[in-house]
Amino acid sequence: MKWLKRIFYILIVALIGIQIIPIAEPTFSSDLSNDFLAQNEMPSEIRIILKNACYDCHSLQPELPWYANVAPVSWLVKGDISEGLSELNFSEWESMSKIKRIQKIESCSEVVESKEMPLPIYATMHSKAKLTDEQRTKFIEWAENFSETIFEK
Amino acid sequence: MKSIVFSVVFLGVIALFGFTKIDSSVQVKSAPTVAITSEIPENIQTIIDKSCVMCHNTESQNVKGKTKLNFDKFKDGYSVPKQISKYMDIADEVKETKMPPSKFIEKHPEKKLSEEERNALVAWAENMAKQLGGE
Ligand code: HEC
Repeated sequence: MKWLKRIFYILIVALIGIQIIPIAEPTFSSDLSNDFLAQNEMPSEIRIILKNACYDCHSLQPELPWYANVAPVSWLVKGDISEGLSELNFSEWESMSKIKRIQKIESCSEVVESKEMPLPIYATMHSKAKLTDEQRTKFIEWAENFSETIFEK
Repeated sequence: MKSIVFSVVFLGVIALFGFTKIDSSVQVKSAPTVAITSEIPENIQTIIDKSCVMCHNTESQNVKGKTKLNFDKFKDGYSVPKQISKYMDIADEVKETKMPPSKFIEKHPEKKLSEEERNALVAWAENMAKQLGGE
């Protein structure tokens, strides 16, 4: 029993210790001048999907739970967010070229259809991000229309 | 005196390396431009046939590959916005040397694209996207 206690203390110390390891953090911002949701009209059911299932990793305004800032969870979360942002950042939507916007909205439709997105591990941890098949169908339909609208402008 | 001479030479060498680096990055950016036509130019078709089409056509056994990109669907199947998005995807993947997949290249080294071929493919795909998007 003595050594069990010892292992426990060592784990606690290690957990505190790893908090000071610096990680590359994405810089978040509240600037909405190029934000997709702020600058575009869409049905509220679509807006809710984007905000709840996409924006935590694909915008500079994530809503993270407190433990997302605690190592080692933060390593995984911040890593996923950095990767997500490099693929698509809704906060800079309006600054992207027309063909870039078409590419990104078409990709949105495809990854929602193939269920690659939202990331299954993320959807498991956040019930707000779980999409029903009906939500997926509506999203895909909307995305295809939106893409046509950008194209025709 | 010796150490001053040494530092100057040392800095000179660093600067030289620095500049050659900058130079080479500029070269990558100024990829050769491909004339815009609706038909695929012969040199591009050769590249696609050599290194892409086996995984990205309707008959391919590679389900994931052909779902993400199917060259047969440019003529019939992809809407124009979808085509734009696929051309942009091609440019991105090839620019980042994600395609052809490195595992595939390990097995078939002869299918590896040269830097010239990569640049030509990227420039062609970007031009097609711009042309279709009216940019
Ligand atoms: C050995 C088979 C194979 C070859 C050869 C190959 N690909 Fe792929 N490609 C795939 C697979 C598999 C995927 C899906 C990858 C994934 O989603 O992880 C893919 C995905 C893609 C995508 C979509 C990427 C995305 O995520 O949106 C593009 C674009 C692409 N390939 C272009 C090319 C081009 C251009 C070439 C030739 C230079 C090429 N591929 C050669 C197998 C291949």
